[in-house]
Amino acid sequence: MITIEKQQIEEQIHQDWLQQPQSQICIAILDYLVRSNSQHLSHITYGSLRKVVGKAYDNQEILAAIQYLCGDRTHLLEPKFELIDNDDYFDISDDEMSKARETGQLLHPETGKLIGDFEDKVFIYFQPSSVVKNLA
Amino acid sequence: MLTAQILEAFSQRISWSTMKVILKICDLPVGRGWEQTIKKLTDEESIQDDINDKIEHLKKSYENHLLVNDKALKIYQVERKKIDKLIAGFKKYKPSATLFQETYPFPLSDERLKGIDFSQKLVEIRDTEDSLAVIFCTKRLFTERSQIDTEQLNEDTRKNLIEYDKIIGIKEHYRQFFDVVVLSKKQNTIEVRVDIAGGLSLEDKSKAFFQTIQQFNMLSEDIARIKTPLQESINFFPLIDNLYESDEGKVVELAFITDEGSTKSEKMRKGSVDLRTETYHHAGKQAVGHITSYRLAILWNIQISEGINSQPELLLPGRAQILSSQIQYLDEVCILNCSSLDDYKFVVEKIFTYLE
Repeated sequence: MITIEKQQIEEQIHQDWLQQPQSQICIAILDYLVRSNSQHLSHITYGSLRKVVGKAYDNQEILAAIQYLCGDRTHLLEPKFELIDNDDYFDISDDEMSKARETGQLLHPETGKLIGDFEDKVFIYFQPSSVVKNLA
Repeated sequence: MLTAQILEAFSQRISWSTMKVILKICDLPVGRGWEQTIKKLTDEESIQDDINDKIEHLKKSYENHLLVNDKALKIYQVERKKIDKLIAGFKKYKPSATLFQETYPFPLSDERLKGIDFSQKLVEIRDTEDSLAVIFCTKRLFTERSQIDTEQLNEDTRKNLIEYDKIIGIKEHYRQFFDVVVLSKKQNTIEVRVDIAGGLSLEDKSKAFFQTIQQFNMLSEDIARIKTPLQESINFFPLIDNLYESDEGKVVELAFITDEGSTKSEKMRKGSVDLRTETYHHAGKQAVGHITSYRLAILWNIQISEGINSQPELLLPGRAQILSSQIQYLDEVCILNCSSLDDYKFVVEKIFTYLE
């Protein structure tokens, strides 16, 4: 198992974003992931991350930072897909999501029926990645 | 006669507790419930000379009430120049006669309402010091669903329905709604207030907004040559956290999610403590670090005079999926239980204070 130190990730973030606001946003999210028990962070929404970083940043800056944290440079966040249907939540696997994008139809995991107009009903949430769980 | 008409119109639209506050403001006697109060006032109307001014006050309260109670609200920021042009155009405009004018500002009887179509009709343009209100009346169909007790059906029917777990009955009835578009003379805003007195389903509310916005945009072009003044409305979402974190009023309802994947909805009984300081809520919040709220209701206790208090309420009716969107956007709020124009103004001022 490869363990990385928090400081290494911080350096990586500063190196990639320099003086841009994304540096502080990424560090705030990293701090949140580290100080919380990963087992208790199973469903992090965009709304929650906005709350974690505070009110000083605009949407574009936060979205760019989240995208970066899901990418290969740090890979702190694992994006997941879910179908929200009449206030009920259904996890959608990455494979099923790829198939849905190829075919234009999503398989409802509960009813087994194909949904044509699914883009407005599928949302992303996040979990801490294995990198966070193995931080030294 | 007029007293009975005013009170009956009020009774279709507000709770008895708000009505009591309005009666006290008008210095009128309050009986036990609607019926007794109507009787008491009608009796006094026939014997007392000095009651007429008070009844006039009550009628004025009813007319004002149509502008503010209970409303779902969207606010649009519009250039001052355009608003002034719209105000000038609407001030000169005379609404055409419709069936609604037979009884307006009071609602039509159920029988008369049956004979009217579903289109929205402009009924009044009211000019005040602060604003110009464009008032529409509309007949809308209410759909009520309730479970049928199969024990009440005959045996043959019960046998035919034996494979069904539940039998649902759908009842449809009509009601008259008062939707209002308010052009401010002081701020650069236009408010669209959709009538939600007595409750309205999410779908019906969104249809009512669509209808009112479309109707107003159309009239604006005809009357003032201004094309679609109502485009993108204000985002109220930041109000949820800003009000929760403030010491304003009393939070009576809150819905939120945690990063552990749970969705919670908490509601306080009337008269209970503020949800923000309630023991269970407080301890739960401490345990999880932070909560992410998407729906909040807050009320203020306003003392009007000795022993008379009103409790206007602001509801931010978000849904959990807003938090899963890349941008959190809430385009409407509901303002409830206002006993006067002042209550409504008070809540709108709070909205602007906490949006900044």
